[in-house]
Amino acid sequence: MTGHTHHGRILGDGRRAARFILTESLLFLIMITLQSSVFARLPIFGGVPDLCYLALLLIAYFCGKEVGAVTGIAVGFAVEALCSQGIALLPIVYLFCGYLCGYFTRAIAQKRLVPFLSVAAVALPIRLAVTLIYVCLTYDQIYLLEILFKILLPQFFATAVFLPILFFPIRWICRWMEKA
Amino acid sequence: MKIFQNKFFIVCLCVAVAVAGISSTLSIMGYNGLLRNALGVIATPFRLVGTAFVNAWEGFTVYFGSIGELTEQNQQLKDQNAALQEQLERAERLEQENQRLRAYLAMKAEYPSLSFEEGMVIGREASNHVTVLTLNRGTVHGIETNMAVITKEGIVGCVSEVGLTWCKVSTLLETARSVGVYLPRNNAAGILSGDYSMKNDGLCKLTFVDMDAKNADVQPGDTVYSSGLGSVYPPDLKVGEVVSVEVDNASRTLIALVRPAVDFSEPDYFMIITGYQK
Repeated sequence: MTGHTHHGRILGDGRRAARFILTESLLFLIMITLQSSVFARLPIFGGVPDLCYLALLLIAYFCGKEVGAVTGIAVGFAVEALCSQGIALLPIVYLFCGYLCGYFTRAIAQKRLVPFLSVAAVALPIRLAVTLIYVCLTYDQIYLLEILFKILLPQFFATAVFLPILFFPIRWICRWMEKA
Repeated sequence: MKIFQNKFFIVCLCVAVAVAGISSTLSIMGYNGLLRNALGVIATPFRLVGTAFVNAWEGFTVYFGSIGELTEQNQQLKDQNAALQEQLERAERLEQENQRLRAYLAMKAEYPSLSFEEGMVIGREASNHVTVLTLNRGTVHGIETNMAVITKEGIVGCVSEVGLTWCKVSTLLETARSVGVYLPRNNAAGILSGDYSMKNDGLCKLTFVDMDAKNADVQPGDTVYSSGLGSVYPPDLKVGEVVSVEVDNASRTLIALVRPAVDFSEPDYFMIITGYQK
C-alpha cells in the first residue's frame, strides 16, 4: 500500500477505470457545488477557495501525472462551464498544473502532507496568476494593490485552509480505488 | 523541455486547447454546447442542496448572531415604551386638568358675578360619609371662614376653619351648617341643614317655613336651590334633590329629606367662592 500509483493500476482495468471516473466525477461535482454555491456566499477570509484546483493537485499527487493531466482538462472544462463565461483558460492551466504536480512528485515514495505543502506553495501562486489574468480581462481599470488584498490574498488563504482538510479524504479515496 | 516532450502530454495539450477554444467561442457567441448543458443539468441538484444548506446556515447564524442586536433593540423599545407611557400619563393628567378648567370656565360663564379660588382636596374625614374636607388653600390665597365652596354640580359646604395654606370645609351634611334654600317649582322657602340621624345616609333635612302638612306641595324629585339668605351662599346655586317628604311629629311641620347634588367623596378639586356681587 503506497501513495505512489502508476496510472496503469487505476486506468488499466476497465471496471476500475469506470469506478475511478465515477468517484472522481462525484468528488469534483461536490467540490464545484461547495465552491460555487456554498463558499461563494459564505467566503472564508473574504475569499472563495478553489477547491477543484486543490482536489486536482491532490489527485495528481496521489495518482500520477497522466491522471492529473486528464483530470485537469475535465475539471478545467467543468469549472469554466458551470462557474464562468467568456474565454476559457482553465482547461489548459489545469492540464499543466495537474501534469506537472504528478510529474514532480512521482519520486516521492511516501505521499504525506508535508511534501505536498511544498507543491502547493508553488501551485497556489500559479492559480492566483490565472485569477489576475481573468481580472485584467474583465475590468478596464486595475489597481494591483487593491486586487492583491481584496481578491488574490483572500483566495490564497481561503484555499490554503482547505489543504489539510481535503488531503486526508482524497488520500483515502485514492487508496480505496487502488485496493478495489 | 523533456517533461513536455511526451506524446501523452502533447495529445492532452491539443485536447485542452481544442476544448478551451471551442468552449470560449461558444460562450462568446452566446451558445450553450451540449456538454455544457449536460454538465449544468447534472450539477443543478447538487447546487440546490448547497444553496439550501447555505440558506439554513444563514438563518441559523442570523437567529443566534442577532441576539445581541435584538437585546439592545429590546432595551431601546422598553425605554421608548416607558417614555411613551410617561407621556401618556402626562397627557391623561393634562386632559383631566383641561376638563376641570373647562368646568371652571363654564362656571365662570354661568356665574359671572362670582370670583373663585380653586382648591385641591388634601384630606378627607375618614368615615363612610365625608362631612369635612381639607383643601390646599389658606389665608395666603385670600380664603376666609364662611366662604362658600361649590363644584359645577352644586354647593359643597363652606369654609369652617382656615390656616395659612389650608382650610377645612364643612359639607352640607354637617349639623352645624345650614343653608337658606327654595324650590323653584312652587317658590317654597326653607332652611337646609345637616342632621345627625341622617348623616350616614348622606341626607340633609329641609325645614319649610310658611307651610304646614295640609298644604304640602313638595314632591320627591324637586330640585332645591340656595336662596341667598344668610350672606354665606350666593343665590341660585343648586343644593340637591328632594328624596322624600314627611311631617315632623314633634313640631307638626313639613320636612323634606334632601340628597346633596355633590358626591363629596369624588371630586379632588373644589371652587371656593372668594367674592360675589349681591
